[in-house]
Amino acid sequence: MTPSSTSASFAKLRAALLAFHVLAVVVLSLPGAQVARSNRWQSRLMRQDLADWAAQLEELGIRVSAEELGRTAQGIAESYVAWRSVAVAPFQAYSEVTKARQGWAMFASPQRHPYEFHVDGLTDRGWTPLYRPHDNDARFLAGYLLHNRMRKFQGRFARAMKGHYYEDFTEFVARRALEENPELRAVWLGLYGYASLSPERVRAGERPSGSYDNVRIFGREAQ
Amino acid sequence: MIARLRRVARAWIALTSEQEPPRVLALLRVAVGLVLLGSLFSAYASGVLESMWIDQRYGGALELERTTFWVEVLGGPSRTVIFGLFAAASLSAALVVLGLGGRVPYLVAAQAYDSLVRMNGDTVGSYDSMLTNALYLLFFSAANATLSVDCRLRSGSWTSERPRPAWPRYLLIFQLLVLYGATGLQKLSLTWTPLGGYSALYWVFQDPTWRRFDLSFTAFAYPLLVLGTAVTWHFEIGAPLLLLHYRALRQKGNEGRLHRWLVRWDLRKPFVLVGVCLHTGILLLLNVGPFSLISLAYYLAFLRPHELDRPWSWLRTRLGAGPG
Repeated sequence: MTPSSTSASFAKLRAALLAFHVLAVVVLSLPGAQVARSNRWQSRLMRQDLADWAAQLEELGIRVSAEELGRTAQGIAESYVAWRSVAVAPFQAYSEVTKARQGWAMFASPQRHPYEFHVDGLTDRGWTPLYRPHDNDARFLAGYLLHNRMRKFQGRFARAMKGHYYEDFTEFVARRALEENPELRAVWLGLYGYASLSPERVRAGERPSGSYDNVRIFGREAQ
Repeated sequence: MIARLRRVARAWIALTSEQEPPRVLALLRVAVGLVLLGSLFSAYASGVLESMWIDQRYGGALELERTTFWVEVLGGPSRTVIFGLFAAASLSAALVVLGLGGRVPYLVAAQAYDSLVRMNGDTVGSYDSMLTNALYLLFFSAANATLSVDCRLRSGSWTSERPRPAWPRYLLIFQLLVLYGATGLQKLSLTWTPLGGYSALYWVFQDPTWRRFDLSFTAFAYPLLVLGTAVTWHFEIGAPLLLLHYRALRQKGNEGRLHRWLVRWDLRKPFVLVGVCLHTGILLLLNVGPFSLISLAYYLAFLRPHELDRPWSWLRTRLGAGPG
């Protein structure tokens, strides 16, 4: 082989490998298995999206309930995921080994029923807020709890709660609070959920109000 | 059909064989390395590394659902292993910034970083994949060929103008356009569309999960948020169309109306302008970690090397290499 023919063969080989990479990027960027997960279809966020779509379809003269629409869409999503798993199979190992991963669902469905993680502490003077997001008077562990990765972690509680992670997490935060604040007798943790208000209601001076879910209380004696 | 396929194959081989001075990739290397270092040290300083990526058995907050390949190989999610991977990723990221050690630091940084952040799937962001994708492409590039310690050690000069493969830069552009297209297509909530009144950004700003501060005042600027939502969604959906502009620039002898329109303006410029404004807005208003910074690093790939002639000449003079 002459140097020029070696170089031409190398150029062809490189072009073939890069074509494979380009194909892998496109195929792997298709939405993944999460689109068919049952807890996703049962989440409040998805039910809100389905209700919006059902209302919109009704305006176009198509009468379908949000539940029916959900069942149909979930069926389509499951068929799609079955098809996708075949399409991505040749590229899966490539992505795993090289860490050239795809998957780009960013703000796909804005949360309209957010949860905030709240922490209170019990002292001789009664319960007092230890942590509220964006409250300068309650900033215990704020550097940690407001870190972008912890925001993501807590955001999952509003979308698809993983029970054991919530139990572990609340216990961890409570333990830290009791260790760092000797005056505390107990720590209270909960998710404050509410519906975000429409712009008209915010402009009218309303503030969102909601209720607490998944409340946990840890006493010092339990430590 | 066969003849057409051959033409396409020849054009693809020619495109992937193109060479250019590696200065843009060198700048990208520094930017990606700095973002990686920032992401690692922010996880360490905030306590995320210790609580979220180390298993409860070894002092972490959670009984982790899964482990990653390298963590498993090294002995499990203990403090020693996780901090070892953190050290390896951080050292490699520093070497990437300096351009020292050849290709190995890219490989080690990508593998160690991915193994760390994926210990807990609920703390992973799209920016993590953007970082490891960039490292993977830079691994094959000649990003260390200039503006690097490697260049200094090899040639005695800090910079080199010797042409190197351009395809890593092209693939970084392609990656960014696919990312936008895919995320746009997955925005299935009505709120992103005209049917939902383009209200998505308003709802994002009311959600305490991501906002940096109370953004309820944005209700008083609602029309601006509608405009912002419309621009964001159409920009993302339409981003892959920029590839038509790049393709048209390479087609010779095509005088069709679409071709003339596609090459009449440099469509990169409005694209980059909208993209930079979008990511700057996200950076200022929302805390989504290094997402905007790594996205802006990718935007460097849109620069053609000759567009850096003046600043590069100034830089070479400062580094004692002459204006080149």
